[in-house]
Amino acid sequence: MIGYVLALSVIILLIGYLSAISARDVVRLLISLELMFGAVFLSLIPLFTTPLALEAGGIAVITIFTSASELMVLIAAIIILDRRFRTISIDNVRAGGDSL
Amino acid sequence: MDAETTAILAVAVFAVLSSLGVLLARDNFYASIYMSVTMLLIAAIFAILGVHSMFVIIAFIFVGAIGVITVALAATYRYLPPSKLSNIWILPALITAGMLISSVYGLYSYIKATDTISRLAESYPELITLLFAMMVLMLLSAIHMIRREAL
Repeated sequence: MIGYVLALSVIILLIGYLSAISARDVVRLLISLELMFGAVFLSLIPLFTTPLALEAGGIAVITIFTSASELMVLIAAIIILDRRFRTISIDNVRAGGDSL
Repeated sequence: MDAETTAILAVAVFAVLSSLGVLLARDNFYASIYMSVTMLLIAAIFAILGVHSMFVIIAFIFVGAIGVITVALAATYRYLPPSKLSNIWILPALITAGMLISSVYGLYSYIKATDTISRLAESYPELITLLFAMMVLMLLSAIHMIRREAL
């Protein structure tokens, strides 16, 4: 059963990754990232089958809250990008103001 | 096959279908709806396995807060041109998916459900195959991004 869950996790992670690398705007990128975080949550399930189930719960809570706050930062960045450049196209995103 | 495994398999099929909806939907709004459905199905797997606290956290915090904000954001920017799946990447993605699925199948045939983590760490060939496949995918996508930038 754990194998099925891990296989599902890998499939969803791959679909999210494929969606992320083919994204043309940052909203689609955000959606893909949330999908990949879902795959990460699924990969935490084997932790609950060990005797350390209480610690697994703590790890899972930290993972979920960290990813949720990371996505909130990304949502704020999308809003700032739209305010500054009037577009959310991924072609306008530059690292540190430099182009690749 | 007991009832729990059957329920997990049924939910897994619907989760894969809805995540494919994220990939194939041309509109960001529908993609975000499909994403929320996928997250709820992932939470349902936790509920089936008896981890109800995780179900509550994913359903109410992740989908209820982040998912709803994402749906609202996607509905706001609905007029933007939708993204399109690059056909060039279908073959590398299928090869990588095959490698990943075979490595997961190898892990499943090797490990037992009771002592998963320690046996997972001992299964070096499958882990190396998995990490190598992920590394190749990341390098290929980096090359693709640089080439797209140069055009």
